Amino acid sequence: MRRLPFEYAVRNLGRSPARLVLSIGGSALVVLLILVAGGFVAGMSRALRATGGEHNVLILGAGSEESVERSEIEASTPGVLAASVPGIRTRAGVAYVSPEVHVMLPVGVGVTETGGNRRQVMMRGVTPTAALVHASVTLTEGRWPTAGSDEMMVGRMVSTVMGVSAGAVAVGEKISFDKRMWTVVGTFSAPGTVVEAEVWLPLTDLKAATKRETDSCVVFTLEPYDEATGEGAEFADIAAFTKTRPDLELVAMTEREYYGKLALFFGPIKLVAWVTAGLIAIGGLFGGLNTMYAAFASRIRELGTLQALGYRRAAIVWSMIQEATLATAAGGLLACAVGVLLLDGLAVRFSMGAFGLAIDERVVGIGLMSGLALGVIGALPPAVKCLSPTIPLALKAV
Amino acid sequence: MLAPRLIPLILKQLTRHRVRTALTVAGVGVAMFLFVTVQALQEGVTRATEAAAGDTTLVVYRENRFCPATSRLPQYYVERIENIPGVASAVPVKIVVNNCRASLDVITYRGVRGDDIAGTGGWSSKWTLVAGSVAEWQKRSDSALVGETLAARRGFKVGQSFDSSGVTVVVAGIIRSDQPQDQNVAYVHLDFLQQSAGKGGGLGTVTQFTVRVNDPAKMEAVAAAIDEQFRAEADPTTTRPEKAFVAQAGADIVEIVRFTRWLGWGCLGAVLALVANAIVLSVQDRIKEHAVLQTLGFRSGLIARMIVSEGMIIGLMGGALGTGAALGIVHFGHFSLSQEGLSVTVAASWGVLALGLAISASVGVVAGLVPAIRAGRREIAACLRAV
Amino acid sequence: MKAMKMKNGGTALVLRSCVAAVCMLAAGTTMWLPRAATAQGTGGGAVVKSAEDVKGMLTPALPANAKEIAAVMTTAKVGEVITIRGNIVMATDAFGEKVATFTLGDESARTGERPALDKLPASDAGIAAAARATVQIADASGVAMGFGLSGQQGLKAGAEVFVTGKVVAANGASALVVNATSLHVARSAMPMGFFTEKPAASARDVSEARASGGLKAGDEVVLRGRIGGSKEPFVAGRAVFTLMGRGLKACNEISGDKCLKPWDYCCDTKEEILANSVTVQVVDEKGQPLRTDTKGRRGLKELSEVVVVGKVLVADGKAVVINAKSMHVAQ
Repeated sequence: MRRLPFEYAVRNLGRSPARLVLSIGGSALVVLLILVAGGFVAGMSRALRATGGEHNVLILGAGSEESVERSEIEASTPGVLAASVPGIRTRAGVAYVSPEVHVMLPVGVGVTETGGNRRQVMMRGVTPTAALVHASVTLTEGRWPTAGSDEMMVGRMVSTVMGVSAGAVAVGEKISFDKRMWTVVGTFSAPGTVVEAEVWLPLTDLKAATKRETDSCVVFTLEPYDEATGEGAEFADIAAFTKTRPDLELVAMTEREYYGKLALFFGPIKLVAWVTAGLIAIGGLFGGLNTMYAAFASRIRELGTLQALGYRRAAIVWSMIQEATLATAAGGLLACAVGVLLLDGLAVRFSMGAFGLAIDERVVGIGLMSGLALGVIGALPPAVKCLSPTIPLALKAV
Repeated sequence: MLAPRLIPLILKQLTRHRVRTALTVAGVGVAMFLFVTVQALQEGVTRATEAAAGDTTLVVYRENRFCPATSRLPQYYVERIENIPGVASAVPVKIVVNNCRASLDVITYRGVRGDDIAGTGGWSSKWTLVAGSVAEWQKRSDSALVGETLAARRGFKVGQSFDSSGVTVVVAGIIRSDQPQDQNVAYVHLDFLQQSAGKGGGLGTVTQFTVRVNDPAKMEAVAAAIDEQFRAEADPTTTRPEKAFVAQAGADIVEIVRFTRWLGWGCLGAVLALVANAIVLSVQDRIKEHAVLQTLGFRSGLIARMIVSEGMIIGLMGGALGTGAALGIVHFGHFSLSQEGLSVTVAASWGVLALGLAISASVGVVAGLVPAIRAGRREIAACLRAV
Repeated sequence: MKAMKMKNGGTALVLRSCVAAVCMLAAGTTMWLPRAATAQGTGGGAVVKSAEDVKGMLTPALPANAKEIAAVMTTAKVGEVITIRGNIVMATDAFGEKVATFTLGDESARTGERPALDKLPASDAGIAAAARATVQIADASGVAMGFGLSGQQGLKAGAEVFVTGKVVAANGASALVVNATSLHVARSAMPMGFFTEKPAASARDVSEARASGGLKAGDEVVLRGRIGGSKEPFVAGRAVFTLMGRGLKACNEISGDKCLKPWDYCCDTKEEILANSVTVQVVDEKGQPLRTDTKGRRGLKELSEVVVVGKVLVADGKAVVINAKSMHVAQ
């Protein structure tokens, strides 16, 4: 089959510069929206998936599996656990057991003890063993807070959660909660996890501030089980322990399973993001179809002439698809450039804290495919319709 | 204004290019669907968070707490609250929610004393029982009266049992209430919830007190008096009007919805572009025809008005399609955003429908203006010579 | 003209290259889209071509309703799909030489001493033919594959294996050959003779034993109860479960109750459940629970009635833990 030269499609685009700009701009906008939706979903999933150490196990109060903030366990549980379960990782005699309190509290920046605009931030009360258990957390500036001194350390994304500049929560700055001013003595990073949006402070200080005697959970790291030596432990050992202590009303899950469940909890939100992007794409497609119809309808006579010259309908359709796809692909590329250069990593504040938009290769792939699809789907129906008249009828068209 | 006899002509112009009109109407429909959905969300937030003149409800919560799991107040506070001048009634409520974070699928239990629900002047007197009965609820300790939105979302029926947050209940009735918070919760017996939720304080501890005042004008004064009463206690309180409380505790939801406002504007922009595009294309095809009409005596202003009317009709058709679809889905989908045990129901109302139609028609008019003015200004001779 | 043609040709080439690049980029990046997970060892049905592929036949969970070899020997029919449980015989001929077969034996039918693992005889005479089954991994035509299985995926003399497969030969008396489609190799074998055919005498109901308050650490006990007490009364991968006494009714014994999991006793308070339950575990020589499931063995499931013989490990007034030595499952 003899094909029309590619230059023909290129030159047709130049017939109406305004229409070309509209097509490129429209498809760029649609692809950009798809990238934002995809980046939002990917960023949220990635942050939740990455949070949680590979061998970390979480012990919570029964019934609180969906939300550690609701959980309460006896303060003696970590000790009982360390004594009853062999196979917990230790280094230099220190067991990797981290008793913690998780609570969302309103926190203010640069304000007095009680006034000002406050945002809810996840506060985590920890002991120094948390640094061992949460291997992804790295102290980037300052030091670990000292108990009893109204000190805390903040994650890299806390400023996003609080809607302030990074400098407002830098080392040395003051943060208020529980009617007191607390000093930021350190900042930490935990790349790609939701932990970065948290404020960490000494466990005893947080328990005193929230007037609680119980902990939220215990997080500990297991030494992987070695079949040959019989050393180490598996998750099932912890589950067995909770069964032998039904009086403590505990439930065990891996840290990854916990955050995985949280990811499921946000499933409907992710679906809404995709549905919105899809609807916008459909709306854009209708507009594109209209434009293509108009573009091709004005060339029916020309198309008839091409057929009279011997070009098959399939070849002409292929050329029209090239034409439309060129414009939408250009728009898609533009959108991907904007997405990757400007939007990737953009911090988004959400109910679980904050995470960065992830315009990764998968999202870029979806965006580019969408651009191509817009071109193909946008050209096909108008092309088929405009080629449906017979050659004599087409040549007589106005 | 346009003479009614010209309407068939305008409609004929639209049906001349059926595909173009259909595509434009569909595109407008999609954009208006999104816009109206956003509006329904905004309306839900407004209903839940903005005080109305007749509001008389205060919420007494543990100071500096928002997650129900962390707010614990002694139940005996209720007698002291009831004795404060201006207080009509005080109801202790225990709330257990399966997740404090904002999402679309949260189950909230509210534990309330039997008399506060079923007694004379109790809350059930303001509800409509869609299914089941309050009497059934009173028979079992583990029974629940489930809000209509929650029941529809999870497919709960009377007699069915479900569990969440480690608490298992049996549905005794499904209620409909004009209070947004009631629609998305399950009301259970207070002592049952206190015991079942176990570590949440147990008997004698509640999450909040819901206080009704005698005089809406004195809400602030009563709130201040309640907080003053418990200022020096081990568990001090913060008392706010219910809607202000929802606005603050549900700050994440309010922010999400505020963000969607941009989406709404974007959708209107898309409608404008789509209709304008269609009108421009249509007018371009009819340059000669308009010139002929002008030679027949149609004035340029009339032609301009006809073009604008075309835009309005396309906008209206697309608007009707999108608005109707959005409201149908919102009505039957029973969507709600929840956070910290509080809900914002996505609300479908006639007001939103009317707004959607009015806006789509107006945008259609605006979209048609520029092409209409340009068409009206063209020289007849130049138009007749156009190819 | 030529210059213009070259210019247009050059532009077209660039644009053509851009479109090609976009297509390739899009196609390439979508290869990172999640592929359907090809499960490894998730339940059999895998195509086996070599010894390494046997991993795909392994199931992580113990299959329910596995029957003892001696019980199916007389009833198995050729072509029938069955699940049998047994231990690989303690002999050097347990595995085929360069052929994918092994012999499974019913240890409850053993006569004489069980050979030690480090002194395996040439053949295991302690288990009669009526209590043995030959298991093979065969190709599509039913011929055993040409690789050995000894040492593969935990298969060794004495290992407890659950085999699901089709019977290819059965004479009703002394020959049973099964083509395996899936295998479960218990990481720890249950003690020999753990499951008894008859219940021990003088069994006390768990509720009665708890209510009497007489249980203390070190006591030898015989307790009767039903498996339940929570949504998941069994611990996956460990020989641990909870036993409830008759002092409380399971949800399905309450009229009108429609609980999906009646063994969770959700109609009772946590305190009542605690006071009417014990935790039962089967431990190794170090006192750690065996690394194997109990659910599915001898038809064990939620609300199964059992009689447990064991020793009280913990009885601190709140929780009671029993180290079981033997158990009878009521059918």
